[in-house]
Amino acid sequence: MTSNPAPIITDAFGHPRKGNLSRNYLNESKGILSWLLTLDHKRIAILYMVGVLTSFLLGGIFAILLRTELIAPGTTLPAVGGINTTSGGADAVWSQYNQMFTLHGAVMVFMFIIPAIPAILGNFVLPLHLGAKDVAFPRLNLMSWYCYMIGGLFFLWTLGGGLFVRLICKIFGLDPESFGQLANVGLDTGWTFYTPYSTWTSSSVISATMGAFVLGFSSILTGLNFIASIHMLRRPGQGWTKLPLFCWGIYATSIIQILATPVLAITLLLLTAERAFGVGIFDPAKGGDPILYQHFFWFYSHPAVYIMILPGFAIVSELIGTFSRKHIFGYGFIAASSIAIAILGFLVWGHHMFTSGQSPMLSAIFSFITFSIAVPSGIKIFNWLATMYKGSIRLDTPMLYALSFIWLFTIGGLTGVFCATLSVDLHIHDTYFIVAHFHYVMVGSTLTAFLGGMYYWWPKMFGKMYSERWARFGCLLIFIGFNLTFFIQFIAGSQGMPRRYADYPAQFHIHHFISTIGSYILTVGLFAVLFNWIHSLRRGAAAPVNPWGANSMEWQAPSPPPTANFETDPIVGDPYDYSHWHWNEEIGGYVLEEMTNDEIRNSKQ
Amino acid sequence: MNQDDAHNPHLAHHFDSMTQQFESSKLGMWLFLATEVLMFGGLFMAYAIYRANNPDVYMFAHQALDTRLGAINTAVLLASSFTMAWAVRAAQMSQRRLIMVLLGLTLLGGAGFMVIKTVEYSGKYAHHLWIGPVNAFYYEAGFINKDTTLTSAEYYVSSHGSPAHETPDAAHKSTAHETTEAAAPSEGEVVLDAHAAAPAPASPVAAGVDHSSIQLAALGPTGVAHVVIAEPRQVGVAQHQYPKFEQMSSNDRRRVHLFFDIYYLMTGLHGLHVLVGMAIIWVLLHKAADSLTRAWTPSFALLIAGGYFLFLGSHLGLRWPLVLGIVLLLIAAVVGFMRHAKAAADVVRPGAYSRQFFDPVEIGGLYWHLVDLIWIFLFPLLYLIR
Amino acid sequence: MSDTTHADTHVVHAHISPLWQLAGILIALLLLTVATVAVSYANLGNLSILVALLIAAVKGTLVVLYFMHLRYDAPFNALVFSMALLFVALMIGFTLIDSRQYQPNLTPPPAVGNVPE
Ligand SMILES: [Cu+2]
Repeated sequence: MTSNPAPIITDAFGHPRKGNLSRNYLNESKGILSWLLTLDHKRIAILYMVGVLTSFLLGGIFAILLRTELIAPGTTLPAVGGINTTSGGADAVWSQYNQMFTLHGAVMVFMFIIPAIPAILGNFVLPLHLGAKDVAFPRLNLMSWYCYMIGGLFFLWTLGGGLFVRLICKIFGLDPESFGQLANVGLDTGWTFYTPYSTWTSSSVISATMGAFVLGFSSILTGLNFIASIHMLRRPGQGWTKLPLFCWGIYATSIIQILATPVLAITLLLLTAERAFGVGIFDPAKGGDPILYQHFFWFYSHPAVYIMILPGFAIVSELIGTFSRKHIFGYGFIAASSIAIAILGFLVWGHHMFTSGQSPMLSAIFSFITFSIAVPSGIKIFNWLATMYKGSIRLDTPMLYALSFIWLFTIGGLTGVFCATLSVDLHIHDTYFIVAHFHYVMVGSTLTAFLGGMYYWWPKMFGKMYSERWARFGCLLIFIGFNLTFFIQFIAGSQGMPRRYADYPAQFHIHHFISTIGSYILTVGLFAVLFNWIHSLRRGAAAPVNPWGANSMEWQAPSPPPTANFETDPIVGDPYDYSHWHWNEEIGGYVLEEMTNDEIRNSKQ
Repeated sequence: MNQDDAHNPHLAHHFDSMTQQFESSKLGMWLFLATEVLMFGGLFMAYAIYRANNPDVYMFAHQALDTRLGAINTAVLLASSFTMAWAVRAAQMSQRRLIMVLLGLTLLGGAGFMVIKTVEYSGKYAHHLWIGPVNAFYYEAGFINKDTTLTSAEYYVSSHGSPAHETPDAAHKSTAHETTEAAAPSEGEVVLDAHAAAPAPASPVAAGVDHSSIQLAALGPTGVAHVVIAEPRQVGVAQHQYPKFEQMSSNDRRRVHLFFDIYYLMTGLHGLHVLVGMAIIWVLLHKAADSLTRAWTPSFALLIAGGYFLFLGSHLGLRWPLVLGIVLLLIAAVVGFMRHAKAAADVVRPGAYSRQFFDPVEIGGLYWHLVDLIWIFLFPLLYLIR
Repeated sequence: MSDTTHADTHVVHAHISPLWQLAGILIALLLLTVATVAVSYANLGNLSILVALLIAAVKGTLVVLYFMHLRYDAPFNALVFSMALLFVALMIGFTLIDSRQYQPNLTPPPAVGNVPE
């Protein structure tokens, strides 16, 4: 870390800023209440960041535990308490493993990946991209964070609430049975809550479904806010084609959040009704139809995959342009392909049900539409590559993540086409091939894009630079660790290793061993990132207004921005026209050239 | 920024003009309504799947629903939708007194809907046609509910003037051929609580149930059919050929209780939305009222709640709702007079909504209309199955 | 806001429905409700659900267009709402097609004891 003893605080034009320089959204007001009751989109983004990263840690702990269990055949970890099984020994370990992969999936999906990019970076950046003071509905925005936290509390109850009830019972000599499902512990249904097992299991399903239900509302409110903001709060002169591609990606994501998440809500309500009132719609023992549950569930959960990946596309579109110092290639195609993916994503849910007894006709339809989604996805990849072609590429940390994203997403996306092929899927369904595929998309792509975005906007969020060397080192470790963990799983899966099994034949030992070692390296890489951030917060040099020379409006606001975001009205222009920003060695960032009113007017057109 | 809007205290800092703010909130509400449509869409999907695959189940089971009450409720909700739309107009025209009256009427419409819904629910509950296992047709792992069917049959006997403790022999004497036209509709009454209020109770003998059928009910589904649905309903112009339980396929019989599950989930979720809508309308009313009237708005809410509990108590013959209702009414009076005294001592301030600012009325109205809209579809789909 | 006429020029420009229109819609809705009940007593067989849904759709359209002012509202709001309806239709449509094909193959789990077959 190079420490700049006397940072020069300037505005976008390189003029020394006037007024109270130390005042920004972070220190505008003090005290815990000023944060918990804030309506400022930037503070809400920080609140989300704390919650989401904590969930990531929790989900990560489960991941490491289950990878460790799998490092060798047979039981590896000791069973803790034998919570849900009266018989101890191996059964308790297997039961514990079921809980670990379920909670890993549920926490990572509902509490980390879905909110990560929209709720943190979207909340922080989107209003700045629009040159607005806030999102359209600041109160709803805060409410969505509270929904997120309440959903988290439900998940915590799933984890330990039943233990708490049992402890109370032990102290007061009560019968835990009399508390009914309140005394249930953990969750062993898989994150998909498939019926009829989720109707019958004695784990704490209701608290988990209610948690996901409330988290769904958080997601809906965020999406609603973003759509309304993009429609209503664009700066005068900022037409739809002057919108950064980040906004387009978030817009497409929000469409899915609005149209798909309510279906998850009703699905989970129905499942709750199954358990709470004895309703039998999904329960074959009561004359119900368990396949219907899968239709319900995947109508949300396939589009949810695009809630996870579209924001990743959104970030990478920003990074590739900025760090290639070249106007993004095929702006219209990238924007339109996001919307196309959002819409098409609703018509493919049946590809999760090829082996469920779904009708052959529908399977064929779903398979075909799934193939067709590869087209808009491919369009994006080609446009990014075309943008880099003959650009002057700067390999700063965010760009490294973007390149890593392209590599990993290409693998994840193309293996998705394998999975969509009917005959191939019959072989690889429910194997590690699927596990590897969706981890390449969700972790390899979304997490990588998220980290890239965090590094990209970090100077704006906190007004601090970070150690470039350590940041690159973390990126490299994550890339190596990730590929080591998951690439081998393609092989194991294609050879027939089923997912969700705690034990396996010796022939898969080497696959699992390599995978587990990879997961440890991945963990070290993620902690390197965390320490890099903490170090930056404590010791980082002051960030310039625009360290990267990007032309979207957030880089005209001070770093970090004041509560009202902009000190002077930002200039609206083509977000990918970098020609007006010039590197200034003294400031350590880019400076906007002074323009006459005529030039400003022209750039607005 | 518009200079005049800048003075408007209702303009939030991040909007440039009142129009931008109004259009934003409308867009936000329509997006929210879209989520509501999809959420209910899931329930409609469950409905559609089972109806398409088991049409007989729907034909048979929907007879438990009372078309007349359903139609009245539709009218009530439509009328309250009208008063709501009118209230928006009144707000837009600054007719401050009229807004209050119309919002109050809308609120009463919602309350009326809930009252009628309570009549329907309680009637079915009494006949063991409740959700989940508390349903005479509940099926699980090879069994159709036995015990509740028996009690249902007993209730049936006792509710028609034939004492439940009447000797089996007396009931037994009522043979099928004695059960003439007058008895035919009442035979269906276990399912058709529509007729619970119908006049012309048949003679105890005619209304009696064949004792052997009670025995059968205890044994299995054949008995259920015998007791529960004896004759097609004799209401209206045309006779519909509804399937009889014992004639249905085994797959259909297993799924009869699912109709009730779907019915309760759909109307229950809708009822929740009515309650939320009522809360929203109350807030609008509170804000729309001038400071003197506003003293009475909490009492108005308590009055509605108290009235509801009084009704509930008298309808179900329970004491605690009566007591609760009276307590609520007393509180309403006390709170009202206290708030009135306080408000009367102060300057009278007008209500919040006028042609300068009526966004919340419009937005709240949209929600209320959506509740109405969903019921418009629920009514024919649940009550008018042919 | 001191001067009413002055403020009047800057109110939100929203459509104000005439009272006769609202009342007319209410009457139409009530008549349609009577109609749907009446029609349900005619023996229409399989057509009856179509008729019932058609009447409900007309009623719903009236509510949306006039009570909810969608006819006079921003076109995008109409798009949002119709997208919601479209996606509900897609969801139900696809699943319906599928369930008709797989449901005959559903076998209930083995029953215990007395089977109501
Ligand atoms: Cu999918």
